[in-house]
Amino acid sequence: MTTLAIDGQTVHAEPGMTVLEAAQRAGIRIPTLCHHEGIEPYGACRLCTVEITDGARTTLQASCCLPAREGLVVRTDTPAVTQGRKLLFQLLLARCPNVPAIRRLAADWGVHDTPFSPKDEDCVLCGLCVRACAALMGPEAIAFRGRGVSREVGTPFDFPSETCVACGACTYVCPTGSVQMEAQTAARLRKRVATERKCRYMLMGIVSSKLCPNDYDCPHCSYDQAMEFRFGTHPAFAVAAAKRSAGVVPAGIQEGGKDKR
Amino acid sequence: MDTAQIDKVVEQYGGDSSALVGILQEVQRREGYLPRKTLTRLSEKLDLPLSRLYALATFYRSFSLTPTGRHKVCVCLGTACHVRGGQAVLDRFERLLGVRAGGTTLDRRFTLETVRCVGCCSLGPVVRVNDETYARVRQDKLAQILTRFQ
Amino acid sequence: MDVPSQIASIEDLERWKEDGLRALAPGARKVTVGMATCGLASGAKAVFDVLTEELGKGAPDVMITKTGCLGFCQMEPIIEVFQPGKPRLLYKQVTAEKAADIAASIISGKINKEDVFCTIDGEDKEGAAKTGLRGVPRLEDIPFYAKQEKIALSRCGRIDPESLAEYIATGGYFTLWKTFTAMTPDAVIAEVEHSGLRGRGGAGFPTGRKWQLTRKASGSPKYIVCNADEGDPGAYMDRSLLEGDPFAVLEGMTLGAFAIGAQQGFIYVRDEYPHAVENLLNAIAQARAHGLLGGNIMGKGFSFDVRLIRGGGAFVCGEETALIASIEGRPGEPKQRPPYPAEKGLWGKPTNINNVETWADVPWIIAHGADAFRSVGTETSKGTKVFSIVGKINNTGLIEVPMGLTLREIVYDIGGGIPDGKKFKAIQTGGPSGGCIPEQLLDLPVDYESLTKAGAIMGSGGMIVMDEDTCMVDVARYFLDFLKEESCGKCAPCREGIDRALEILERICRGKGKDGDLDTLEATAQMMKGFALCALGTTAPNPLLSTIRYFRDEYEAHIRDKRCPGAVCRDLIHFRIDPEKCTGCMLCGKVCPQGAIKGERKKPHTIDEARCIKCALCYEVCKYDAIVKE
Repeated sequence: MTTLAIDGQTVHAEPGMTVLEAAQRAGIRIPTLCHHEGIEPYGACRLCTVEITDGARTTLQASCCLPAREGLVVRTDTPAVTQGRKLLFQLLLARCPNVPAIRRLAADWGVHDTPFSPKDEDCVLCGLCVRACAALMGPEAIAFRGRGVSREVGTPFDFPSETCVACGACTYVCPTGSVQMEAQTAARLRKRVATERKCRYMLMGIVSSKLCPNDYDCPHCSYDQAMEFRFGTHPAFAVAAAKRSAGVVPAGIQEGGKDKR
Repeated sequence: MDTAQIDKVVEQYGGDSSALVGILQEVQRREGYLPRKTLTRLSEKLDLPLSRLYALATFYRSFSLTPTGRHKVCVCLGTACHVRGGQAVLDRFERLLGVRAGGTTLDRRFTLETVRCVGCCSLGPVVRVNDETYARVRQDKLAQILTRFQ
Repeated sequence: MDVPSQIASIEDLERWKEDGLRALAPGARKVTVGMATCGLASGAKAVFDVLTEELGKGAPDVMITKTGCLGFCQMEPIIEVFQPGKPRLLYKQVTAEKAADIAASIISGKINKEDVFCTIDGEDKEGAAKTGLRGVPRLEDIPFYAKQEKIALSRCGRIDPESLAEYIATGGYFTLWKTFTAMTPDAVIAEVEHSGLRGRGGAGFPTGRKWQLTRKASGSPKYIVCNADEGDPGAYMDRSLLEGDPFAVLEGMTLGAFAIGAQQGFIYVRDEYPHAVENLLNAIAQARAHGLLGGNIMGKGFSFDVRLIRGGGAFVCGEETALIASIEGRPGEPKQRPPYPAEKGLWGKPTNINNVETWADVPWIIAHGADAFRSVGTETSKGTKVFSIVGKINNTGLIEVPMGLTLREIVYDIGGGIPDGKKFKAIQTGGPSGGCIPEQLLDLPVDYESLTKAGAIMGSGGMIVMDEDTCMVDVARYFLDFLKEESCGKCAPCREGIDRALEILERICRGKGKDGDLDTLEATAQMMKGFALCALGTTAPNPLLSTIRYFRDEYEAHIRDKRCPGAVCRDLIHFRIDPEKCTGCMLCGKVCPQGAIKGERKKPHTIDEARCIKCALCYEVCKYDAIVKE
C-alpha cells in the first residue's frame, strides 16, 4: 500500500495503481475522456492533468499514466490546473460542438461555451476504439492515420475491413458514439452465403461453431444479450483476459482488467 | 514492383519491425509512391496488419500514396529562408506550375513540395529540384530553372 | 598504401597516422575544395571540375581533395591551397572562372595575394611579410573566427571526411585505444560527468548522469542512439558534423557504448540529409573493414556496431520517445515519461540517446581530460557549443564558441552585424521550441539558464537574426504554422491548441484581430505548457509568448490599428511607386506577374492596387528604390 495526498486528503493506493485510479477510488473527481478500465492508459486527452509535487519538484502531469508513488502530493484544484482544464474543454467543445457527450462532460465541469470557432467533428481522437481493437481482439482493423489535425481513425484506404470480427468493442468504448465499425462489418457479413455467416462470437473465438440466426442484428439478439450477461462486461474484455491467463499477451493489455479486480 | 521483387526487399532489409520504415522508403524510391497492392503484399509477407503499414505511410512525409511527378521541386520554408522571402518563391512556383504545395502537375512532370530546412541556411531562399540545390533563388528566375527538367 | 588492414595495436594506429599525415601535409602541392552541402549548393562541384582539368594539364603533381564545412558558409565555395613548407592559403567565393585563375597561379607558382582570403597556420604579421603575404590575415584573426574555439568542429574543413587515415592522423581512435587499455567503463563515465558536458540537442541534461542512469538500469541488451534528426529550421550543425567528421561521431558512440555496456547503436538521420547519410555510411563501412566497429574492436574484446536509420520526414521524431517509436517501426508518437528511455527505451530496454554534437564532444573530452573541457564556459554550462547564425546577418555560417559569450558578440563581432544598414530587431534561438530575444537583452551570456530565463531556450543551436523588416507577429505565426504540420496529433492540447492559436494569429495578420484575442492566445499558451504530452507541445507556445512579452506593441498595432509595423503581413501593406525616384525603366512592369504596373518608358509608373498580390517582386528588382512598401 502506498500513501499519497490528493487535495489535502490522505489516499491509499494499491500496488500498480495510477494516481487517477487512486483518486477515483477515494471519490475525488478528475475528468477523463480517453481513459477506460481494462485498456492500457494512453494519455491523449490530457483532461486528467493534475499538479504533482514529488520531493522538491512540482510539475503538471497526466494522472492516468502516473504510477501512484509513496509521498506524492497531488492537487487537482490549483489555478493552473483548473484554468488549463477549462481551456482544454473549450478546445474540445469547438472541435465537437454537436456531440452531446462532450457538451455534457464540459458542462459537468462548468464549461458551456468556447471562444474558438466551431468545427463539426464527432470523433475526439481519444484512441479508445483503436486501442480496444489492438489490445482486446487483436486484428487492428482500424488504426490512426495521418498526423496533426488531419489525424483520423479508419480502415486502410477506407476499404471495408477484411479482418474486423464485428466484436463491437470499438462501439462499446467510444465516448461520442462516432464509431460505426460494427454496423459496417455487419453489413459486409450479411452479404455472405448462408454457410459462411458466422456468428460474431465464433469470429471472436469465444464459441467454436455458430451461425448467425438473426441477420446480424446484434443489438436485438437474445444470444448476444445472454453472452454479455454471462461475462458481465463486453465479451471482448473477457476474451482478452482469458488469452492472458493462457499466456497469450495481446499488444498493450493492461494488468487488472475488470474481471481481475 | 512484382511480388518477387517485394519479397526480395523484405529479405534484404530483414523482417523485423525496425526495418519497416526502411522497406517503405525503398519502395517509395523505386516506385515513386506506395501502391496499395505493394502495401498489401508487404502486410502478408511481414505478417502485420495492413493498418500498421497504412499508418506509417500516412504519418511520415517521405511517403506518398499517389504517384508523384518525374521531378520533385522542393521549396525550403525554413526560418532562414522564410525571412529571405521563401514564401514568395513558393507562391510563384504554385502559379507557374498550377498546383498547390503537395500537388503534382497533370502531365506528371513536377511535384511541388515544401521542406523545412535542408541546412543551407546562409544561402536562402533555397530550392531543391531532385538532388540539385539552387541557392539565393529569385522569383523571376524560377521559370528558367524549371526548363532544365523535362 | 601500406597500412595494416586490421587495426589491433598502437603500432597499427601509428602506421595509419603516418599515412594520414602524408595526405594532410604531403610532399607535393595539394588543393582542397569544400564539398559539404553549402559548398555544393554554391557551385563547388564546378570549381572542383575546373581545378581537376586545369591542374591535370598544367601541374599533374598537385593533389586535389575535398573537405567538409569550415563554417563560413557565406563565403562558399572555399578552397585551400597547400604548398609544402608554406602557410596554407584559403580562397573564398570561388567561381569557375576564379578557379581557373587560381589553377594558373599554382601552375606558374605566382600566387596573387590580393585574391587570398586568409592563411591557415600562418605566421604573424612579420612572418607574413617574409613569405610575401603581407596584409593577408590569418584565419584566427578574421573577426568571424577570432572568438571561436573548436572542439566538436575541430576537424571539419580540415580533413577529408571520407579518409580514415586523416581522422587517425588528427588523433582519432587513439582515444579509443587509450580507453580500452587504461580505463574502466566507470572511469569513462566519471570523466564525462566531471566535464560538465550537457546534452547538446537542446534539453541540456547532464550527459554523464544520463550514461550512469542507463548503465545502472536493469535490462539487457542496452542500446545507444545518436539523434541526428536535426529538425529545427535554421539549424544545420549536426549536418555539418556528420558531413565533415563522421568518424568522430562513431568513436564517441563507441566510447559511450563501452561506458554504458551496450553492443548495438543506432544513428537516426533525417531523411533530408542525403550527403550526411552518404558520408556516414562510408565511415561505418571503413570502420568495420578495419576492426574499429563490429566484433572484437581493435582486438580488445569489446563488440559494438551501429545501424543507420533514415527518418521518414517528421520533426517530432527528434523527441526521444517518438524517435524510439520510429526505430521500432511505428509512427513517431511520443509517450509519457517516466519511464525515461534510460530505464525503458527501445523495445523496453535501457537506451541512451544523445545528440550528434554531444557524441562528437566525447572523444575530445576523453583525450584532453574533463578539466580541459571545464576550463571553457560558464559555471553551469561548460565547454563550447556549435551554433548556426543565419537570417539577416552579414556573416552567415556555422560557429563554435565557448559557452558564456554574449549574444552581442555573436551578432556583431562574429556575425558582422546586420546587412544593408538595417537595425537589429531580435534573435531567435531554439527553433520552434525557443523564443525571440530583443535588443535590450543582447548582453546576455549564451548558456542554458540565461536563455531559458529570457523566454527562449538554447535548443540545438540555431540562431536566426531578424531586422527591422521582420514582423514579430508573423514570426509567431510562422512557427505555429510549422508546428501544426509537425504535431503528431496524439494529444488534444497540442493538436487543437496549435491549430486554434494559429487560426487566431492568421486572422490577426489579415487585419481581422479582435479584442480578447491576446487573452485567448495567452490562455491557450499557458494550457499547452502544462498539459501537452511531449516537449513539442509544451514548448510550442514559446515563440508566441516571447514575442508577446517583448513585442506586444506589434500585436496591438495589428489588432487595433490593422497595421503591420514590419511591413510584412500582406493584407496590411501596400506597394506604391515613388514618382520622384522612378526613372521609367519599365523593369517592374515586365516582371509583375499580374500586369498590375503601368507606365510609359522614362515616365513614372503606377501600381494598380486592385491587381497587386503583394508578391514584392517589383520591390526586389527595382534598382532605384522607387518601390515603397508600407
